[in-house]
Amino acid sequence: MNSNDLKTFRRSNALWLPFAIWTIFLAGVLLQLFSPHLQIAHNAFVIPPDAIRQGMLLDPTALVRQEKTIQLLSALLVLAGATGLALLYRHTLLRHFWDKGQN
Amino acid sequence: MNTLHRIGVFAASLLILAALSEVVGKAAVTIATPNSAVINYTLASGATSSPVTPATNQPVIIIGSNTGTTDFAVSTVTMVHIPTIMMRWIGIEAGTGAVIHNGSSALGTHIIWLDESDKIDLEVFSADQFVIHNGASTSESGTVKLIW
Repeated sequence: MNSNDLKTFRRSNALWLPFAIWTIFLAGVLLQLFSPHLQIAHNAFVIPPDAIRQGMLLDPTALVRQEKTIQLLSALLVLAGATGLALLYRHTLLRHFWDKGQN
Repeated sequence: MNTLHRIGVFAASLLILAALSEVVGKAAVTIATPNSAVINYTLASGATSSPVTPATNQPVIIIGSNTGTTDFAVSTVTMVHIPTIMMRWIGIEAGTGAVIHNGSSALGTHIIWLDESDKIDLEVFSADQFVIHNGASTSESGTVKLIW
């Protein structure tokens, strides 16, 4: 690999890494939209009153399982994304807070 | 320009931290919540709720209470649901306090009364579901809680 190839590799690397990390972070946030949005009251999931009236089959087990899975996945993606962003922009962040401390 | 850049970095960091704490906090509460679901019903006279599928192949505790001001009571039943075969249950009726036990997949089989006057009950809908049925002449409301 000559020096030009290395530069090209680093440039493409510099592009996909932030893109991948932001995608992971945003995917985690967007995943929230796909949860059943069950409220929690008195330590139990509350099935929306509309669901009981609409005449469709109600499966609380599946709803609760779906809610828990999506929340867990969402948290893992957001946590991974935020950690990645913190590492990716560490120089900018450190410079920002360092300069602030100096002033 | 430098100040603007700093404000931008600070705002972006705050936004990411806010999203992170919101999502992780919500996930922690959700995961820590036991496997239980509350169904709040309000049913017109003669009405029946949507069919409810209890968890399969494990004991499910069902606590029900009709909360109408003149006809309130509480009852409990422990059920096992074998998919496509039937549901079997044992429990204590509201009103009489009688111990009941049965098993069925036949539509309309009475499971347990939720009120004092024996008008609102859980009934078998199929081998896999039950419904809440209001046989009273007035609109009734209450809660059915499932724990599995």
